[in-house]
Amino acid sequence: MEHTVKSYEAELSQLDQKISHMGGLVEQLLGNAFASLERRDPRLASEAIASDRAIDLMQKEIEELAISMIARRQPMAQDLRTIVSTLKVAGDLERIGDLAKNVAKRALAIAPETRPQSLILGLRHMTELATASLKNVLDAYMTRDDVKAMKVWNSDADLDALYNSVFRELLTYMMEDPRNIGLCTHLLFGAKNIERIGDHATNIAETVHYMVRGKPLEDDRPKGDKTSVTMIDTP
Amino acid sequence: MATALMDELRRFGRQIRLQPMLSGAVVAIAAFIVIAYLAAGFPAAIAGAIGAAAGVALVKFPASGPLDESVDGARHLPPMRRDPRVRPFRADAPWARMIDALPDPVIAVDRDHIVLHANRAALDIFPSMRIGAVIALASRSPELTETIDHVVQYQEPRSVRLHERMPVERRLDATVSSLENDGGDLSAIIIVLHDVSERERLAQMRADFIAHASHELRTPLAALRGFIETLQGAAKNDVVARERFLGIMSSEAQRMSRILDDLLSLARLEMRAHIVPTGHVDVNEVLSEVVESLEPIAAAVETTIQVDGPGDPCLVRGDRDEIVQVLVNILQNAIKYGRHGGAVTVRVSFADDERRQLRIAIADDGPGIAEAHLPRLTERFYRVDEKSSREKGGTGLGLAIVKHILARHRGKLTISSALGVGSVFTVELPVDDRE
Repeated sequence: MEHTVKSYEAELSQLDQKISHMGGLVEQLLGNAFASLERRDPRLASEAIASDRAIDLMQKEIEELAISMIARRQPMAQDLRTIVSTLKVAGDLERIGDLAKNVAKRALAIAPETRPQSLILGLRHMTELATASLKNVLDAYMTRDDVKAMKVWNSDADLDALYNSVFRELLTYMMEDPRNIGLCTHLLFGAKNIERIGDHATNIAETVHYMVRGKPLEDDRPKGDKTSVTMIDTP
Repeated sequence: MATALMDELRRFGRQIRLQPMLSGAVVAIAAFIVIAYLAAGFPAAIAGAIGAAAGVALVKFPASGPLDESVDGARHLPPMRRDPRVRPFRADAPWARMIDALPDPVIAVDRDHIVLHANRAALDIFPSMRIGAVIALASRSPELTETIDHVVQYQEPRSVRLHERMPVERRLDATVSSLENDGGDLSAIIIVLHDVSERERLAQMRADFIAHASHELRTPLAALRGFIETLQGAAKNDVVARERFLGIMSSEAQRMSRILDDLLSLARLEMRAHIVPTGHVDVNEVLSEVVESLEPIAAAVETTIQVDGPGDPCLVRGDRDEIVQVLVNILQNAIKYGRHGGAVTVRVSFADDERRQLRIAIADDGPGIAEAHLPRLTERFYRVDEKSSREKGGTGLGLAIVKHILARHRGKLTISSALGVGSVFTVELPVDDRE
C-alpha cells in the first residue's frame, strides 16, 4: 500500500499501525510455534521459523521511521516519549519472535519422538498464559490503557509459578527414565523461552506505563521464577 | 434516470456473480449497499421505488455523532491530546443499518483499517473492537491486515482464513471486498465473517479424544486384566480373594466409565467454547440444589457444608446445567480431599462495588495443596497424588471441565491454598445485566 505522508499525525499513526502489524505477526508465530511442538508438525515448524524474517524486517522499518521522525521533527514531551516507546516495544517484539522461533526449532528436533503427549500439557498451559499476556499488552499499547498494562505486569507471576512447576515435573521425568532426557531437555528450553516471552510482555507493559504516565514504573516486579535456585533431591 | 440506475445495479450484480468465492451474503450486502448508496443521492421517491423494485426496505440512517457510544467498548477511549487513530464516524453511510440487519458478522473499514461500522454479530465475536478505531483492536491477524491492504490496492475481493487464539480459539472465514462509489473511488472495505470453528474443532477433537481416552483407560484396563488372569489361575478357588478382587474390578470399571463420561463432556464443551451462553441462572437457587444433592456424600465422611450468601437472587448469564457442574465438581473435591469430619463453606458475594461480577468461594479445612501444584490443577489428567486420586475415584478431569465451562462463560477460577490450613476455590461469573 502506498503511503503519502501527509503530516506528523499521520506518521505517528503509521508507527502505531506498524507496531500492530508486527504484533500480529509475533502472535501468529508464537501460536504456530507451539502448535508445531504439540502436534510434532515439522512443516508448520518450518513455516513458523521462516515467518520470523518478516518480523525482523518490520522492526527495521519501525526503527528507520522512528529515527527519521526524531531527526526531522525533533519531537518533545509526549511525542518524544511515544516515538522512543515504539522503538522499545519493537525491540521486545523482535525478541519474542526470536524466542518463539526457537520453540519451533525445538519442534523440529523432537518431531520424530513418540513419547507421551502428557509431557507437553504443562507447556500448553504456559503458552496459553503467555499468549494472553501478549495479546492484552498489545491491546493496552494500542489503546494507551495503563490499567490493562499493569494487569499484564502483575499477572507475570502466574506464568513464573507455572514455569517452576513445569521445571520440576520435567526434572522428575528425566530422573525416572534417562531415555526421557533428550526430549525433556528440549521441552525445558521451550518452557524457559515461553517464560521469557512473558518477561518481554511485562517490559512492554512498563513501556506503556511510561508512555501514558510520563514516568517510569518504580516498583520491582514480583519475581516468581525460582528455578535458578531449585534442586531436586536424587533418590 | 431510473433506467441508468438499474443498469448500474445489473452491472454490479454481474461483476459480483463473476466472483465465485463470494458468498450469498456478500451478494446481498453488495446489492443493499449499491441501492442504499445510490439512493442517498436521489430524492426519496426514487430511492423508495428502487428499494421496492429490489424487494428491499430502505432505512434512513441518521447522521450520527462523532462516535457511537452505545457500542460496547467505546466507553474507555484513551484521553489523548489528539488521536489520529480515532476518526469521526462518516455521516454519509446509509448502509450501516443494513449491515446491522444481516445475521453474519459484518465489519466495514476504510482504507486505513479504521472500523466504520460493525453489526452486533461482529461485536459479539470481537468485544474489544471499537467503531472509529483501527480494526487491529479486534484482530491483529497478519492475514487480515494483508488482505485488507490487497483489496484496497487492487479492489478485487479475496477470501482468507483467520485463526484467533484469544480469548477463545476460533477460526473464521473472512471475505473481504471493496465498495466503490459512482466515481469508482473506494468508499469502504466490507469484511463478511463466517465462523468455521466448529467444523475445524470436530476434527481436532476426535484426534485428542482418542489420544486421551486410550492413554487414560489403559491403567484401569491393565488392572482389570491382571485381576481376571489371577481369578482364572491362582485364585480360582479362593472365595475370599474372589470377593475382594471382584469389588476392586467393579470400582475400576466404574472409574473407566466416569473417565469416558468426563471426556465426553469435556469434548462437548470444547465444541461450544466459542458460543457465549444466553440463559439466566440464579446462583442461590442452583447452589441449594447442589448442596442438597451432595449431603449424602458429605455425611459419609462426616463433613458439614455451610452456605453463606446474600439471600436475594444472584442472576448470572449462563447455562444452568454447566453452572451446576462447576459447583458439583468443586464441592465434590472439597468433600473428597478435605479433612474427614471437616467443614466446607461456600460464600457468595459480589466481587466489586458495581456488582458486575459474582464471586463464589468454596473453602475446605483439609490438608491443603503444595504451591508447586496450584497452577497446574486445571490441566487435564494432572493429579497432585496419582494414588490418592485413583482411590477416591477421581478422573483427573473435574477441574479441567470447570475451567472450560468458566472460559465459555467469560468467568474465572482462582485457587489458593496453605498446607495444613485448607484450600479455597473461587469462581467469578459475570452478573446478568440484561433487562
